Amino acid sequence: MKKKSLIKISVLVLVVFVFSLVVCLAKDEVITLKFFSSNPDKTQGLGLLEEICIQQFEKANPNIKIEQELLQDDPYRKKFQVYLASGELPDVYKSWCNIDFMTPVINGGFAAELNPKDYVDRGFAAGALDAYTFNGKLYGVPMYADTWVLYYNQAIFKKNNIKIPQTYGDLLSAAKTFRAKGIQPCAINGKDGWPLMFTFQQLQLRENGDQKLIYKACEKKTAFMKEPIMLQTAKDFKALYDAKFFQDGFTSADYGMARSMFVQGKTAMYLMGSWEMGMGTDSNIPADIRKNIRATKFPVFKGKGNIDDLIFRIGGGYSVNAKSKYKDAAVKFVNFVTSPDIYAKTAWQKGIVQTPMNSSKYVTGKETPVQMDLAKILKDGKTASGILWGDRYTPAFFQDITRLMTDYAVGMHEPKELMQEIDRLVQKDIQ
Amino acid sequence: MKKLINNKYFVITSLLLPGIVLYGFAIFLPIAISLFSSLTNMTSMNYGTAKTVGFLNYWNIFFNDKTFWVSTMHAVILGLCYALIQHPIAILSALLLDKIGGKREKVLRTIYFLPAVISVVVTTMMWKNIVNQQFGLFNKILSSIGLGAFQHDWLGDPNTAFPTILFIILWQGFGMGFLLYYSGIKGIPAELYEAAKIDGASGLKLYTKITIPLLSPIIRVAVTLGMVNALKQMEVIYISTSGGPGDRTEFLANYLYRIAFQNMQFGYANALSITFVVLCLLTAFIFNKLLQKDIGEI
Repeated sequence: MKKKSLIKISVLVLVVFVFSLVVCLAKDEVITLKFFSSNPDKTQGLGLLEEICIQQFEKANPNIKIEQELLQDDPYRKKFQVYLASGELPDVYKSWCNIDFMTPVINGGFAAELNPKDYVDRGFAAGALDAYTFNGKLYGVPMYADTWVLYYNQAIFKKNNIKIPQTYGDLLSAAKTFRAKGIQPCAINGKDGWPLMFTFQQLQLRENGDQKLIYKACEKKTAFMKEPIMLQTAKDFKALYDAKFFQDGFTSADYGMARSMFVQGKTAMYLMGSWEMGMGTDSNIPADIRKNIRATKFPVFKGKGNIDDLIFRIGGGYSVNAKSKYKDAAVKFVNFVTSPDIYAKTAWQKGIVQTPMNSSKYVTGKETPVQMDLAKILKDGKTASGILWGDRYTPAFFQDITRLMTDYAVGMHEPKELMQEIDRLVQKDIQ
Repeated sequence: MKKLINNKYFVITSLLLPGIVLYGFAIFLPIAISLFSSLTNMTSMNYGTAKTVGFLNYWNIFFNDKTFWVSTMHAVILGLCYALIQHPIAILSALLLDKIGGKREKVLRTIYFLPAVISVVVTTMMWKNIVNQQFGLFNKILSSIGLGAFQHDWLGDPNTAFPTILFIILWQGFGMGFLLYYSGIKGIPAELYEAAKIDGASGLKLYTKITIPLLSPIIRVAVTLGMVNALKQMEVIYISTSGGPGDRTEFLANYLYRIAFQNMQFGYANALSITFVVLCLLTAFIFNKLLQKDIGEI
């Protein structure tokens, strides 16, 4: 009797064990992908956009969970270097298609090669995928289309009866009039240096419409000192500083400070990239200012250049870690969140950011004025700069040039000295 | 086996080995890698393909790098400011406080020491905001007392950036300097003053003949610490100006950080770090030699 019971119990345990095993095997394995990005605020802007896309992906793929690590831009880049050095990059990460960012990633074998055919019918702007193509291989999906524009507060211009600047002369006269009325004309984060570097290239482009000249000078096919147009650009830039076009103490202002001055109505203009399109929908900005934010093409010099030549680049995108344990799932994730009906549609309809994809089919008529302005600027664009001169070569050149631009803004160099200094840095930092 | 255990060299070696291995991996190996890297042209762009360039990086540091010398000069100026401005004020404050006595002394002592216990990041951010041109308190005060013409970007202007930085650093270090001297003064036996008074000494003589001579070991310690602090100055610079405008507020530690983690020139940064360490050791050695006689090594 005792023996029989024992056999029964054993059989029961075996049945339960086999049943549990079958259930476990039948159930899909849930995997977790690590996602590393630089948009920590999930309530608005790019962070919100990422969050919406991720939520949709997790809904459509219940067996894949996304574990996010989000840092602000600067700490992001620093931690990225740490991950790179330790060989522990997350499965999917935000990348920039600058050579200096991508080269160590590709050389270290951390960038998975993506299949260009997956993106053929996504309506990418011409050249957008090329920005992420190195040695004929695609290493990332471009997400942001960045144009250098002049934002302005329509109400301040109207109230002071000043016309929206269309020419460089307008900029100077607007600066004079605003200053006379005690208003600071234009906000810029001069401490960072890169907005000044952007503006320098923009002014040179307006001077002669030559998109390639500045790169030729950086690649030592000519020199900044040898090109009179470069010297003229430096003088144009100096004239803006001398006219107090930028806010007081702009060389000490960081990104947040410059932006907050504009969105608080303390400056009439804001020189920044089109990635700030989200200002039009940002609930943290007072409604009376938010609805008056507009954008215009960077003014021209009378009779020179073309107003539709753009300082335009692909501002960043997503790449997959080639050494990821779940590489296929990571590629699937990137392809899902970058699909036009998920990404471009959300970005456009929420008025968050310009994407390099065609968004015309998502127009609802509820767009913000600044969104429409930016769409028009991009649509009208005739030529595009691509990656900017400071970003294009080495991290050392970027750092040195941006510092030099800030130094020039505080009056530490005369225009001629600036040219000499740039040539010196080209020799030092670009091999 | 027994023979082996009884062998003292085996026992000593086996006991020391784990420590030596750990120490080797944690200290010597990184130093060796750093030394080797300093002889290469390694950057973020040529991981794995960097070439050795001999002592070129060191040559460039000493003969072609203006910023290195400017940064070193700034450290020397800061060290002098510690010695000639901060410490005399700290000694004077400590002497005055010692005379006050009672509850007021305790309250003032806490207030004087307060900057030293608050995080450097917090106090630097505070000063950065105080001297900000747009919304800073300092410019507002200048304007309200009729000195509006002096309003400007204190940390952004090449002419005022360095003095402003010096002020912030000296202010932050004041508490620690004060505490050293205050405890030194409190440690001087009252009998010495009484004996001196019986001998006819009074007023200033008590300070010049008793207080200052007895404080001299502390003065020397404080000066050495000041010099070392000046050399490794980093946080205030990184947070407030990042060494700019130009290299007007650059210090060696911040410069080293920029070259390594912003410019990503790892070979050159390693050469800088080796030079930096040698410079610090040299300073400590010189000061040790100078002070050895009186107060022993630091």
